[in-house]
Amino acid sequence: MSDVAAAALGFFLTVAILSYVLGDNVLFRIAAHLLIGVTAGYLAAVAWQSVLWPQLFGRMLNLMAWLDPALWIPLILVLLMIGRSTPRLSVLSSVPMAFLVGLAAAVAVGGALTGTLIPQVAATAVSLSPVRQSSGGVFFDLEGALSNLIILVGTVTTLAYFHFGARPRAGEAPARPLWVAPFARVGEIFLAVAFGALYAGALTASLTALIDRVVFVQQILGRLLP
Amino acid sequence: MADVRCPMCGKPNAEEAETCLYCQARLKPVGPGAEPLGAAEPSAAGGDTVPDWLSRLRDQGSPTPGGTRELSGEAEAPSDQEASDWLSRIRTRADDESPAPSGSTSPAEDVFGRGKPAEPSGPVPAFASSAEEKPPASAATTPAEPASEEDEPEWLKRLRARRAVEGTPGAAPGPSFPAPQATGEGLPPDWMHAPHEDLATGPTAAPGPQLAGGEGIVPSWLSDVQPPAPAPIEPVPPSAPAAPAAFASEDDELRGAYSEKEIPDWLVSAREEAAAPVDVAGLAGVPAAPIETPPLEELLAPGVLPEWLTAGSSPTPPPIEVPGEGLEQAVLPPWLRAMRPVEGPLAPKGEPGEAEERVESAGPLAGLRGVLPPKFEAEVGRHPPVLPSLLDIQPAHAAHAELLQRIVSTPESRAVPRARRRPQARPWGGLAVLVILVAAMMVPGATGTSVFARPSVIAVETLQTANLINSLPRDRPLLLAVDYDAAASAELEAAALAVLDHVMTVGAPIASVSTRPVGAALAERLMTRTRAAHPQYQSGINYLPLGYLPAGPIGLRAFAANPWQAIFGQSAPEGWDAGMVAALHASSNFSAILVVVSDPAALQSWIEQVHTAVPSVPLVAIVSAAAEPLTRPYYESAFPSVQGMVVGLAGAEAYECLNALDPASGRCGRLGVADSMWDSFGMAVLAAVLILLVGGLASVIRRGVISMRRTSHE
Repeated sequence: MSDVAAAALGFFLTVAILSYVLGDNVLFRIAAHLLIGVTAGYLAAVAWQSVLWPQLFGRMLNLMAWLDPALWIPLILVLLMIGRSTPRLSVLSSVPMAFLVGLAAAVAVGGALTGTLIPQVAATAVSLSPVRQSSGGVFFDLEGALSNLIILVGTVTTLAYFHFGARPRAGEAPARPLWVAPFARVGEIFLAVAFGALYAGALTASLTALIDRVVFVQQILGRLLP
Repeated sequence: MADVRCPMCGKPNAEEAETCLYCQARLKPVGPGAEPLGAAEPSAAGGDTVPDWLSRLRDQGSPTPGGTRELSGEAEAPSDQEASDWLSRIRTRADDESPAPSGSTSPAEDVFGRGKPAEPSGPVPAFASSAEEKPPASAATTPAEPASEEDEPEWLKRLRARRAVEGTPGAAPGPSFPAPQATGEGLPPDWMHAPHEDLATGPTAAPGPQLAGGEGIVPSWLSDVQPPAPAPIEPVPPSAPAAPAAFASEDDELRGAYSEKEIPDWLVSAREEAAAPVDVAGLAGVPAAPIETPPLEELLAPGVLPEWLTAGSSPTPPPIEVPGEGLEQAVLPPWLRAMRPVEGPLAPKGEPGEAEERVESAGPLAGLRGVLPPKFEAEVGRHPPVLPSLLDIQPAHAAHAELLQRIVSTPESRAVPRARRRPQARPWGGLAVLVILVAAMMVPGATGTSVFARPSVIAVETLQTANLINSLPRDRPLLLAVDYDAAASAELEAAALAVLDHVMTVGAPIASVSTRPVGAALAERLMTRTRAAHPQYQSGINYLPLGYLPAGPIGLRAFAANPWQAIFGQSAPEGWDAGMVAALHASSNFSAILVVVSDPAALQSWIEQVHTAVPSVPLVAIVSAAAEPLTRPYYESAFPSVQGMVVGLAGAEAYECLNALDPASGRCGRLGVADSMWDSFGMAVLAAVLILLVGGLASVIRRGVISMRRTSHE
């Protein structure tokens, strides 16, 4: 019975969401508000059950846990953060906010350097020679060389497209230097290809989601209809 | 018609106007340049040409029908208390300089004694005595020489005659001129007549009848000014009328009784100075007779000028007692001194000695020297001069000020149109696309046909993922990170179910975690659907749900350092080192990390925060097709951070095919979730491509048509 109710509710919400193709309407608003409300409630429940109770309030019941700075330091920060709810005490929240922002920035920058920038820069330092040498001997890898060449050209020209050294001229629009313009043009092509790939991926992901809903509706209708 | 600007208010007036229409100030001076006295003053015949201001003065004086003025207290005359100070001072001085007369004052005598004969009965003032010392000139003894100058105008003749009269005292007799007649006819121009003719009323003027009949000889304004300093002053009754009324008297008897001896020296000298520039005698070839002019200091000596006249022109004003005189004067700081305006609008201009050298040429002060500050007239009725700006105004600031002024001065003439609600476009296009796509998706399911074949070529990253899963140990758990939203569950669940099915087939334990609040629920959903085919997987035994990991990248960094501490907020208790929980003591205890993400940033965080901390643990990514272009560089780089990938529904279909691959036939066997959507996905992609092509072609045709129309119009 619960499966039937869940399936019926899912069918109703799916149709309500799809009704947006006809424009903004009551069914779509009901489904959207229901989604937002359920999500908010669920987030609050998860935050209490997974974070606040086990890591803060549950431990407060243990008096010995108060000796641990890992309990009362976060508690102080939480209390200061509560001051953000009132304008008079909002200045108190700057302390935990500064702590969070500073820590997040430090962690993000450090991880980006070691996890993204350095490996990606090293990935572009490839050999353009088609002759490769491995444990089995020397072989000719024209495809690999061509791929490396495309990576190099794409990286250089894309960076040239984002070259912001154009100087303004009297009565004319700012233009790139002459030696940068051809590279920027090629980089623009690479960017167009990349955006096309992103659009195609987004389209296929959306089609997959629609297929899931259409198949779901089809299954429900197949159960209901003889 | 040329306009005349008022010297007081600066506003334009008609050329013939005598008074300003706005401030009632007089536009034409009474002195030089004014109308001839004979015309300006009322004659015995009538007074039609009397100016308004004189009429008002006459009205105030209220002359009696007999030609005398009533000096007794009348209703219009102010009382003693209301009389001005200058009149009181005049009375006091008159009392001091002349003893009280024995007789009573006749009603015909004004406060200055103009109504009585010039018979000084008391001490004569200095200026009166000096006037008496001058030998009287007889105009009758100067014969005229009209034979050689008949062609000259009459006014010039009279002027010469009068000049000859002036030159007689103490000088050689010049050519005689006929005595000027008091008829007022043929007088020289005003600018020359008025000051010069005044001299004729001096000690050398013909007495008696000429004065009596010569109304135009002494202007009324001069007769008004003269009285303050005559010597023989009769005692004034306390109820004497106001001085202006007495000054405005035009009575013939008063004028006739007005003795030339009563004219003070300062007035005589002033007349001479006023007449000095006009060297009429020189024009006639007769040297001008020297005139003894007392020095300026003598003219301005106390007691000579009336107090009301000297008050404004005193060269040495009396010191003003300042209440805080003993206090030390404040010193302006340099910065405040620098801010002071260099030149104020009322600052005196001209040379310092200019005030003393200036001779008034118009008005009641005509002929006087140094009674007004220099350039006084120039400052009256003018706009204040523009002060020199000491501020350094930048052009940008000036432009802003101009813009602000323009905005403020420009009236708001354009009303803001009310935003009209655009009628909502009919969604026929979107509805048609939806219908086409849905129809294409439902065709395979409705017909039960398989249009699109299974992928025959498996991507390398998918094969590497499968190989990695095959090599997972059974004593170390696989960390499953579910970091996607419910919206991407259709695509990612298909791939994740295929991979998890493989993992459970291998028998590796699984620990799930999520950095998103909904991730825990989605992970549970995945495990629930997968455990249907693998019932041996039980929670706590070979499956450990770790739940929600808060704080995003910070939580991931903490998880990489100490998973137990990051999950439970405290250190792992002793004894919990067996089973799956033993892996939570260090992140390196996991056999592999399987990240299911729809956002490339989530995968980037796992790579940057966790994989860099434990690079020995392989990382496999199940990503959405939308995130593939941004996550693939982590896999295809020379130093890959991702050891395997399963991308979208196509990757899921390929992985399912690998899981159910029949080695004998080489075909995919058991169908999964991805396979159930594969045909619909193929149809939908085909329909979408067709829609894009048709839409693009229609757009090109539309643009071409529009361009052709424009070309034809041009």
